[in-house]
Amino acid sequence: MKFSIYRYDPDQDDKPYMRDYVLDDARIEPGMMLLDALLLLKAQDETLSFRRSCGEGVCGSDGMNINGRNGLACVTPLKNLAQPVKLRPLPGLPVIRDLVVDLAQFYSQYRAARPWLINDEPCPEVERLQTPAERERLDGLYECILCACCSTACPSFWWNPDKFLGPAALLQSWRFLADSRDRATEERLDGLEGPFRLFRCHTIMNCVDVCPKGLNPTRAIGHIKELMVKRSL
Amino acid sequence: MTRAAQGLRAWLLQRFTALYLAAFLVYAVARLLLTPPAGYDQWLAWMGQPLTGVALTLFVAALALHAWVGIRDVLIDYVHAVWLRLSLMAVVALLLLGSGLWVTRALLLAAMRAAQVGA
Repeated sequence: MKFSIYRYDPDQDDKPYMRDYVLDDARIEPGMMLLDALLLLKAQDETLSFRRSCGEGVCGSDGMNINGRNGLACVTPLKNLAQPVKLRPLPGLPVIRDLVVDLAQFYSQYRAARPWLINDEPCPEVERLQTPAERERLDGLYECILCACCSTACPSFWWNPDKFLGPAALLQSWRFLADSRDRATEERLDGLEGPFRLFRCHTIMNCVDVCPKGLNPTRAIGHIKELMVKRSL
Repeated sequence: MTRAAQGLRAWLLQRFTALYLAAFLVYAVARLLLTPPAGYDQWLAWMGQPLTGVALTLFVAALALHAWVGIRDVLIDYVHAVWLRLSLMAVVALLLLGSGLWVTRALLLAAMRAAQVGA
């Protein structure tokens, strides 16, 4: 099986290049994922760098651009991939080395969404309880693993990464706006006003297309806009 | 302009003008297909009706506002040098405003003409 992988070591290379790799078909087992193939290729060429951890789509470490589409290598079946399999780092972020990108920008966007409960009311004696219906509103929001596939697939993020929060952070914004225990709705919405932070989203929906967890940041962004309209009435 | 006007209000303006543009276009196309004006006199009579004049003026205003929000979005997305973005936005704003006023003038003239013909 043929691969073409983006290589760049800033200490040695003037500029990035694509290197071809061949994996012996005899080593490919049924049901193998792309990450398994990458690990075999790394055994052939140990200079090849990529992030990975859990290997089962939970940690979100191995997000990369696979044949032009962002996804997690560990949950991408090998057999569906067109050859040569072109692997590039997530687009729009600085490359540290090969498939490893610098996620500082992504994390600062996440931080800007203030992804924690804000509630200054006196603590109750037990937990802050939710009804099953209130808890249900968080489904499809809390599952995000911060793999950065969505934000780095978003053209609005490519053009204004420093000002637009990006789909991943906005999904988290809505996750806390939608939480019955959170009391900071006003501040959160104020923080999202202006032409950039939220409103650079033009419902392109690349985020929905690539999310390996099947989440829908575009819908979350729509809910935020709806809440803003309701507030302004 | 407040921050709210730059974000939520611009977005709402785009949605609402879109609704009006769509509704008016359906009406205008249907009207032109069903009873096409045969000549200048009939065009004048149609344009001279106060309701048509107001609806068309609103259409032009909605079109200009809709175009403004859309082009502004494109400029914010792609043009990052602030001086260049502001200059381009000023040019677009002037063009849209000028075109809008020009169409409004034409419509007013038509209304006055129709009133004269009617009298």
